[in-house]
Amino acid sequence: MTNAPRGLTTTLSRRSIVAGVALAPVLARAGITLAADKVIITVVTDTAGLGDQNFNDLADRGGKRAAKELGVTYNVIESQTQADYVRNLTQASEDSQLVIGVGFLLTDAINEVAAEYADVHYLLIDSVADESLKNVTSVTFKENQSSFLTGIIAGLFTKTNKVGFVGGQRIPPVIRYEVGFKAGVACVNPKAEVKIGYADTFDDPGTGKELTLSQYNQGADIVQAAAGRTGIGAFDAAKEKKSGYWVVAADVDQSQLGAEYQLCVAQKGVDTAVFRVAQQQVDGTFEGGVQDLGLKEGGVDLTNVTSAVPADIVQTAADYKAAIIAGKVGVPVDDDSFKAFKPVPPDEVKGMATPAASTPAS
Amino acid sequence: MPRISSMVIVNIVNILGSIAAIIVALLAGAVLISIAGQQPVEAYRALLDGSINGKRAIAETLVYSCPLILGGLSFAVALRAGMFNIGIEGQLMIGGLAAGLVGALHLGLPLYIHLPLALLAAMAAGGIWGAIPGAMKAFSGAHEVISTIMLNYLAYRLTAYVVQKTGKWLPVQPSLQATKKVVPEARLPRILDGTRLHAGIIVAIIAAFVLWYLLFRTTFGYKVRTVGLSRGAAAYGGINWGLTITLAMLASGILAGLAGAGETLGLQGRQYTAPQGYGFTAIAVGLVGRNNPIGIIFAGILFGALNSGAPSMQADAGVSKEITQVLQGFVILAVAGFAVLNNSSLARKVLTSGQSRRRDRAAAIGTEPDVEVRAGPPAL
Repeated sequence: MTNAPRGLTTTLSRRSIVAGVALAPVLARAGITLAADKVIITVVTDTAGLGDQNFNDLADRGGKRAAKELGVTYNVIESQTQADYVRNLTQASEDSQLVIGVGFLLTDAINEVAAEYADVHYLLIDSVADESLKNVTSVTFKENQSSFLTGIIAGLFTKTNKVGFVGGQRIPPVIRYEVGFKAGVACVNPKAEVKIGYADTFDDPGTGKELTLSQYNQGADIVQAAAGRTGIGAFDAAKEKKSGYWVVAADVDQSQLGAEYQLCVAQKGVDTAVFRVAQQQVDGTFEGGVQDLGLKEGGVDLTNVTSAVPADIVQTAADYKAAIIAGKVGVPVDDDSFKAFKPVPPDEVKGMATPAASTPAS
Repeated sequence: MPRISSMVIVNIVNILGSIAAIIVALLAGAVLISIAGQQPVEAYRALLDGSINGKRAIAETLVYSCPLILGGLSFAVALRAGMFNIGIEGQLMIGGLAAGLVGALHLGLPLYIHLPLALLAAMAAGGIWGAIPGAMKAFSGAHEVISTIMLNYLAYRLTAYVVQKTGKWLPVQPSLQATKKVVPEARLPRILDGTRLHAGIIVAIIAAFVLWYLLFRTTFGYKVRTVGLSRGAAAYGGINWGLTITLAMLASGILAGLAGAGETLGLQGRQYTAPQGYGFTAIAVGLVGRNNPIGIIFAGILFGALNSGAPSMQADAGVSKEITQVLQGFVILAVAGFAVLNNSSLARKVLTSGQSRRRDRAAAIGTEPDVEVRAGPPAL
């Protein structure tokens, strides 16, 4: 079940002399030779863990790419409960130069551990660590922007004027997904109703399926899932309902779960962020600080739109994307800014971003 | 002194049974690890390395043991009264929530007042959450397995609600899906430098001895055990069945609440909305510890070691986290199997090889009731 990188999973700890004997054949198979000065990077997952087909697997993909292209030694430690974060980050810090905490809920733990291991570098995904910690890079994404675009697609494509959103826990990155989606739908289809459901966990496909099914049964024909492993259940629900029901995937292309049900993807470049910081670590250019990546920076995007969606809908989404990048349309980030948000109808956006259309309007 | 000797024999048989079960489970785990394509010897070496090799490893084992010991005690006291408490997880969460809310208030009180206040809040909240299904069974016969499971969901949802919706009145942080950070005056102090080990483990061990005394040296304990053995006999002896099971569930909830408080005040510094699952592992701890408070200390440490060694197994031996969960499952299965064996033949043979068959069996029932029989799947 788990797709742990078996061949690559090793450490150069003080135990490596013992471990080396047993691991030698494994390493040989993976084509890796042990070198004393090799950079070690370790990913600590959140409780959804590897195999979530989503957020953690995406970070894992970035780590594997770093192992392949940069020749670093790459480890993963999966967390089972909230209590594991500090322990796992500590364990990782003992022998790694770069430790990657995957997820908002690791914020407290990164703050605690990074303060203790000043000479280890950290990458925190989805949240911002204490600014006083110079050894931490915090990367957040503007999920609301990509989700706004999936909202455009969903709002125009829905046959029932009802769409749904299933979240994991209602933490800021997921809230950004939710309000972005709602804002996108509101722009193109003011009549459409958006049903919202939260599983309160990122770790439970069963609940994800039930939530999605209940939204389908209430008339929604498109449901966006932003729920980690829980989101796998959305595809199970679509499969049960058969054709005519769609899932919008968050973070990463999930067509392996059912390509015929995936409407489009609100992509999030967790893998790119992991790879880039790993590269900085190797090059010696690591810098602490905060990066907030949106459509403009290529950190998030609308991808994998299914061919069932007509070209004019795709074009409308592209118009909004250009307008967002140009700063002409602001996408809400939380409940308050969503309340204040005024939907921008498609005809206002058309050609807004292109210089030719910049008519002397106001 | 035939009475004492048979008591000792029962205990020894129990202990040997548990140890044999653990060995069988580890062997079965080794087979599984081999099938998964890893080296079992290497995996177990990593497990030991991560759980007992060095100060930090031992501290981590005890950190994970803390909620498991308290949870195991919680399960044991209920089961001694014949109540199968599956609601430990919810009682633990409600206790942790109460501790987190009281602990996050800036009261300006010193540690020796604020910390006990937070602990008391957890005990009260957990106790009430535990006593409800006890009282429900006493008054209307509602089966505790159903009501405790349902109260778990209520506990999860109530915690989520409090955290998300009561920011105006209570110290919560919705953006983190948790209560606000507990103030230093309400934290269970760390007791070993450079580790996460906190005073919760001391609370757990004291609680184990208190519970042992309560169960085996007081009238209340006698009532609890009698009710658990036979409701009819207890009634004949003038014991109020309903009151006794309600009080036993109250005690169970108090212990679970303490387990939650230990996590919130000792480890996390906040109560999160995501269930941690200790309440269910605690059932296994109770069973492996044979519902004996002292046995539960050791069983809790065993399961704590399985938890604390897990990342070493992942990092050094490439064994996925699921394998450690399967290992725990094996331990539970094996213990349950050995318990049946004990009751049916082994223990009886040992006991009846003594002098008076009748006297020894009576003694055995008086001291170590065959709770394992009761621990099977509850009849619904």
